[in-house]
Amino acid sequence: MIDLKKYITKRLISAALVLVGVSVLCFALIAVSGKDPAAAVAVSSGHSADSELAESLREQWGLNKPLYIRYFIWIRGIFTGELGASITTHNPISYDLSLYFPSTFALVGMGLLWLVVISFPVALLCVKFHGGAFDHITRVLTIAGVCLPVFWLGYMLLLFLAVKIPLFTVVPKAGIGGYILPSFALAFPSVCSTVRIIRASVLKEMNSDYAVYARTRGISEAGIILRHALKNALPPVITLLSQYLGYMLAGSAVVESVFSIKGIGSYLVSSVIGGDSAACASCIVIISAVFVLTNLAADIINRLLCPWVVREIND
Amino acid sequence: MFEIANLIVALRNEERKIVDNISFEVGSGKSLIILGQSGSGKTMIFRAVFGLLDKRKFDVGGEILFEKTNILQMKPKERRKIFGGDIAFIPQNPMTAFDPSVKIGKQLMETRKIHGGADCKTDVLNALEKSGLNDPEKVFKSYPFMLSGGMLQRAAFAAALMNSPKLIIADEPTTALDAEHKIAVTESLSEICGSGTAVIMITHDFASAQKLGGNAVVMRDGRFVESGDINEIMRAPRNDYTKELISSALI
Repeated sequence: MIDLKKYITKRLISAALVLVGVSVLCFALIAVSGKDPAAAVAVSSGHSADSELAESLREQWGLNKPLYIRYFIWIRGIFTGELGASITTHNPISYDLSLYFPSTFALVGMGLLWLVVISFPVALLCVKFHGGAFDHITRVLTIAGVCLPVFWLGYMLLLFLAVKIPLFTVVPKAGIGGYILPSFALAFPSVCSTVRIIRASVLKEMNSDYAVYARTRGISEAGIILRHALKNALPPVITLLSQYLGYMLAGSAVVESVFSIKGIGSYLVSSVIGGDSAACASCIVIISAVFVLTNLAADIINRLLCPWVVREIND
Repeated sequence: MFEIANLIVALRNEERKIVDNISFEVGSGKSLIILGQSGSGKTMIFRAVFGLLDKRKFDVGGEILFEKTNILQMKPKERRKIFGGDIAFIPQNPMTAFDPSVKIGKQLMETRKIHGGADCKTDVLNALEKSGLNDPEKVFKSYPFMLSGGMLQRAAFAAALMNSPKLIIADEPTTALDAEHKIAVTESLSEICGSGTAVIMITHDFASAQKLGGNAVVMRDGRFVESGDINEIMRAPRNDYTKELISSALI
């Protein structure tokens, strides 16, 4: 297991490098966007862009310092929470983030739950009844599902499950119940493609030598699927799930606006529109960090699941 | 004890038969060698016996009788009680035969449990030791990649023998092995045969076949072209194809 420690250290270092790269890119984006937040605030409160107010704001936010110093001030802010004020909400950015991130995390977390809870059973049933009616119907539905735009699905869910049959409210209630429809809409396209991937991955395992040998030892198809094929089929699926988690996080804006949820996605969009580059960059860095960390977690889980990979690398 | 009568295997909607009306019989303590090149249909026989042929793709006709019961007409659940128990299988390549993500002991215990083992762990450890593995505890706790091909082959023999089978079918058991292990495998098979278990060996390896001894059939394009005692066939083959096979094997 020494190899595992080495592997994790290696992956941690590369993840850290990726995060540094992302932060530099984000900051560069702020720098080259050409928008001067101080001027924007000054103009919005009726002063000119080169007024004293703008000048004092530049001083206060450190905008008149050289770029690399501003980068380090900003990075320090990521860790200390002093990210400055948002020019669209006029709140400290850290306050905005703490306000909006929890609902997006709840949304994406529940989306991930849908993803796991639906796609595994459906895919395994497709494998068990491979070539049967269930498999064929699922194929058609999942291929159609992958193509569905999330906003359309969101509106349809609202139309049918909130307006026509009032199971849910159009404006989501507070608490977990309010996230059921939005997270489902968010996860649905990912669910569909995950079903396809799990099915293909497990079916490939079902044709392997060990599955044939297991059949000759009297092990049932269900036993081979659940106790053998699934475990060997998991690594690509786990990598995929970690990617979808990132996509859902990054794509939450659409669902948030359809379901009127105040989350990080809609905050990010309004920051972009309002030219609030500091708020934008902070959001992007945090989203990227989550993305990088889930990918790292997926790689480590895969490593633990497949002990034989250790030997392949040593060879 | 075990009999195949008029077995036919064909791809659905295809004229050509992969296995074309073959019949043979093996008694307890007897061995039968099915010889043939790849593509002759010999592997299809074991696939038919263990129900490994996809019903949507293959038509299987004839009878496969184990103790007078036709396996082809058994329900999957009943068949599974026999497979790995009364009829055991030795795989071709021990390196890929076991699930790479599950420890050997667990995989063998799973088989033992299906066939009514009460104290599975002890049974498996005993079986591993009996098949010549010096440190059964270690093998029990190992993942397949931690063991050599020879050790895995012994584990496969342990898996077959621990449920006291009446018939063992070995598919090319010597092909993936080096010379030393080839001999060990044929020796184990003839020992098993000597203890009263029927053995069917499917192979294209004449040397190993001769070492095992007993009856043999030569297969070509799904049919038996020659049958008789293996030593007799090797000494004086009657069929031209057999002659060709033997001379090419000797070169």
